[in-house]
Amino acid sequence: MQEGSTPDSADATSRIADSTIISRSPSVLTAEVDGEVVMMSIEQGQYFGLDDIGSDIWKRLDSPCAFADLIDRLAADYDADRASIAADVRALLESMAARDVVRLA
Amino acid sequence: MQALAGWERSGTHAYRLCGLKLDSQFALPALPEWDGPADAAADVDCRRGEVPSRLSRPDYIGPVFQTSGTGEYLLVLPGTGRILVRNGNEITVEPEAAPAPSNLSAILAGPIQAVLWHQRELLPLHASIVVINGRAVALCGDAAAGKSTLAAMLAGQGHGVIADDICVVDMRNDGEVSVTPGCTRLQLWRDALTELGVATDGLERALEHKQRYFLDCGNRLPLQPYKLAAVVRLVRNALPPARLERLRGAEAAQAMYECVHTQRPARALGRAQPIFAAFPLMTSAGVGFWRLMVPRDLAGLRQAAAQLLATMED
Amino acid sequence: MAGIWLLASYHKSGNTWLRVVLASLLSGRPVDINAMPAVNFGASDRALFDKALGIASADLTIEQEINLLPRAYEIWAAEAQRPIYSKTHDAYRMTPAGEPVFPTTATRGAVYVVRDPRAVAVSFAHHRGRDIDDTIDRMEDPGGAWAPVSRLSQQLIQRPGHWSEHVESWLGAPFPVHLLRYEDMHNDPHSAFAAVARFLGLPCDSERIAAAVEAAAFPRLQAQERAAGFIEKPSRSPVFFREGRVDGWRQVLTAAQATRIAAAHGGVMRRCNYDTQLLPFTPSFVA
Repeated sequence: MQEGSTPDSADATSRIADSTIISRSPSVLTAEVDGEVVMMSIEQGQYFGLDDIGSDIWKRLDSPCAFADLIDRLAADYDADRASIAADVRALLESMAARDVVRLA
Repeated sequence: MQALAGWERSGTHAYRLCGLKLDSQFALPALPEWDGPADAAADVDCRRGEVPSRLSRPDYIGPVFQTSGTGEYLLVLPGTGRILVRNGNEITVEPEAAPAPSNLSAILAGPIQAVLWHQRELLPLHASIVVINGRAVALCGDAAAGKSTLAAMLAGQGHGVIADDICVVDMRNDGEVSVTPGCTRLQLWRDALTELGVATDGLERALEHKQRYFLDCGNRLPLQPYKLAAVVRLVRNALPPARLERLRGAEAAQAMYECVHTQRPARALGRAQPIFAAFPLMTSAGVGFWRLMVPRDLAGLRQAAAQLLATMED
Repeated sequence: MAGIWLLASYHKSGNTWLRVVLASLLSGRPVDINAMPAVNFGASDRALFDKALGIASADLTIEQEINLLPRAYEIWAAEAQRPIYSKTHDAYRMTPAGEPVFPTTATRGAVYVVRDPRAVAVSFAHHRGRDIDDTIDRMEDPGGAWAPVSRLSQQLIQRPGHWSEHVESWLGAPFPVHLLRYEDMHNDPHSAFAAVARFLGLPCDSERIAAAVEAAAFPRLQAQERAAGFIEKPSRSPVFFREGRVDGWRQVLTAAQATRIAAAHGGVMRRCNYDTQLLPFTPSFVA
């Protein structure tokens, strides 16, 4: 995930458990530019770009789903072990949640 | 109809506001005089009148401005007065003092004009526009980024300046992104003029209380819409050497967003979504997004100008 | 509310040094002096002010600008997702409208960096590109009428004013203030910065403090500036990280200059534990 501006350093212990429901934030706007998904949280006025894998994850969130289910589906389609997929996706979702692009429940 | 009581046409000025006719009871020296038919109806009216200290149903209340819906904006600025902008065509001003406060005309021509464009569903960028080889280049950036100074330097090399401070982007025609000439005189501070080797003698002051002047760069260009070729975000005070970098994806989108004039009022007026949607439209119409790192000194500014020309003249 | 921590000081008193250490503490790694976003929130940054308020400060009168500063602070504090560390050289003062420039509700506290005014005079003279006597005058000037504004600075107007009044204004501010002496940063950086970290509620385990102090050691800052330059250096002075010494002033000031500073600022100097009797190494008649 690239960002339009330099983020401050932020360390937080994960708020995402297997049962956490991930959903797209209602305040997010998305558009596709040069094959890249560009999104903005209206409230924060921050843009984000997603690479191919990020865009794929975004598409899979068209309806809310539990973190574990999302990882299962990704593990079925990507050639990597489930633990490292979970770690990468958790980090991505954390930063998306911090910018109100996705919501956690 | 509170305005009817104080209706007075005498002393009304007529200005060209990016192709529109603006009738104003206040002198707005930043704007070019109206040069169209004298009997043309005004598109925008700016007049003196009573202005409330708050809106009846505000959606946003900030320290200096409030908005209601998409069509009402109220500025309450102690020391200057109250200004109400409605529906993109009506500006009512209740100045705090008579004669008018010294910065009233600057505020009307700056943030108030920008609010007007937001209400008219156009996109005002915080930018000066220089035309290079027939293509408009928007020099954007935060306050004090050096937009006008760089524009003046490019004007000195023969390029036309068609707008200062506000660049109104029009995307109403499908697949086309154009800009219309606005304030064709640059506003420059005394120190910047001195650096550029321009004497301030005889220049008209743009602000009474600060040493900001109007500079007419000459190089007249026809007052017609120009295709917007590039949005260049200036970052001043960079380490040398000057660098021009192409931006893509989210970085380009963020740069454009940061360049929106009076962005917070725009968001309050419900413009966040259209501003977001503007970015892919601009990209698909071929507008390029760039970042220009400009070192602080004159040599750095020259370098930046040279890099920009080398790239844009291609 | 995340709120604002102010990093306040008179000019050339070690504010940048403090910020480099903090940036390093916050990120947990050595810092590029030209990229310290976590501690470069400029509460005096004109563009941030304009964006918060939705108006162009360039058009405002100086009085309007200062009167609106508290409103800008309130917006920044309310909208911050995490604490803001904001540098200022302003005195803790009132707006023309009569309220504090730094609103108590938006401010969590301040780290106030103080440095021996005799050393400040030498370093500040280099920074301004002016002579020392002129700089000593400036440090005694409370600031009267505003000079005509002839340029658009990226910084909003700040007024440090009289050196003693600056120190006293901050030490009397109505929120927690941690006094940090430049000389203590110099002589025992580990303890000095550990105390700052504790005050700010940052990690203060010995290893992290040691790493941050090491990353901000003066020769390292000088080396970074030599290699890449420093964006905060004023164009009129040749280098920013010049000497970083505690008693360098004793080789530069004349006895008359040292005495003059002690006479003007003696009370506050004693309060901050500076020996007002100290004189230059070289008698002034030789210099």
